[in-house]
Amino acid sequence: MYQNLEDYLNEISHYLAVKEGSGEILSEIRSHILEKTEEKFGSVTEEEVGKVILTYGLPRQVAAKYLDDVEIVSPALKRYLFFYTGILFFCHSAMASLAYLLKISMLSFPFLYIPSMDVWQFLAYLPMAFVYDLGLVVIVLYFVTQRNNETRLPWPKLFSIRTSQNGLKKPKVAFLIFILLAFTTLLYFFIRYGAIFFVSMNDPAHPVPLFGPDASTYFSILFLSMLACEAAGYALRFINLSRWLDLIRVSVILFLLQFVWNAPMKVDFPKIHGVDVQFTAMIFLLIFTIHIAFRFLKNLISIIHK
Amino acid sequence: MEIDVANLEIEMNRGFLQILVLLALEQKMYGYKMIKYYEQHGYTVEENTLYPILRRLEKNGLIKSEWDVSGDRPKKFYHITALGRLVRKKALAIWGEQNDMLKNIMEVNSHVSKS
Repeated sequence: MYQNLEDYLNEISHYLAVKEGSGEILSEIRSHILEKTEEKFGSVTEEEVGKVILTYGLPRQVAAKYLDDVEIVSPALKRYLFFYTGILFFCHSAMASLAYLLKISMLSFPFLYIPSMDVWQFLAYLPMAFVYDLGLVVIVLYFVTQRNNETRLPWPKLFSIRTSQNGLKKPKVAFLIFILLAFTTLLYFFIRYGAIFFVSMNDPAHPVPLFGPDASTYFSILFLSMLACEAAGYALRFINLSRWLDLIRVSVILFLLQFVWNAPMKVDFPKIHGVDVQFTAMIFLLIFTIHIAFRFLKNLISIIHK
Repeated sequence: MEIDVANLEIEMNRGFLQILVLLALEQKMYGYKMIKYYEQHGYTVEENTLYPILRRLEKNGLIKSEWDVSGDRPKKFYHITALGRLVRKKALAIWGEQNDMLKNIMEVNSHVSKS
């Protein structure tokens, strides 16, 4: 009995998730290492066994070689994993939003129980919802993988990703969901509080807007319009990947941005904890404008170049 | 580039090693002896690659195994089955056809590069 060899085999067995025969596998490795040690060194001591163990490989890698055909989710189903999770999370978020807005709790399949929430509970609920949805999809795909037949899962045509012939990136469902969620959340804030920029939200019932009422309404509408334009343009990419559509999208955003730069009212920025909010906001706005202008030029040059 | 070649070799060896095992196991052998046998023929195979292949072939009924506990330490001996011989025959035929095809294409390529 060589303790280092037994420790090594124990470590391998920890990773060796085979249905049967793990004992035989370990016995065979034990026998191999001992014979190799004997042939190589002429005798078998713990130190020499240790040297042979080093050449056999790391326990996790050794075990992994026996697990080639054991899959949790087939690689062929990987795109379903993200796609289904995206759809599920979208529905889940929508229902959670309803629970939050209407102050109701609901029992629903497959989300089980969605409680009535305040704003912070709602924001904390979303990441948990995502993890739950991902887990649920993994369980379904696990059973599909284990059945090992040609079960054809539904794939709505509306979301089919077209291959690009003009060098444009394929749109991603997750990103579209992200934009829509951001838009919905900000729209809710605007409807409820008349603003989307706040200094403080310590008291969710009475958040403190960053600007006065006129400026708040003005900038909120402009930024919400830009976000809506971005979301609509991105959604259109699923139907038609076109440089022209992208150009129109950034042109509209650029057009809206000039109203931000040329606001008709005087905007007083508060000082928060000594931070110059006006300067910070201008820097962000400048970076955003440069980014949009760059996208505009990139699309324009591509179209002209073609 | 070296990594790519190494990966390519691993991919190519996957099928090749199975044929090699089916050929070697015409006589009863255990894992360590098989590695030595291949080394005598100029082919090096890692032990942690060989054993999983042996297990897979056994699972598919192409080889059989039995433990010999008469010596100092137990050894698991393998030998080919009738199904294994049949599969080996087909695999060798496929390998031969692929080899011929490769030679043909290389010959055509050499003519093209000369002209």
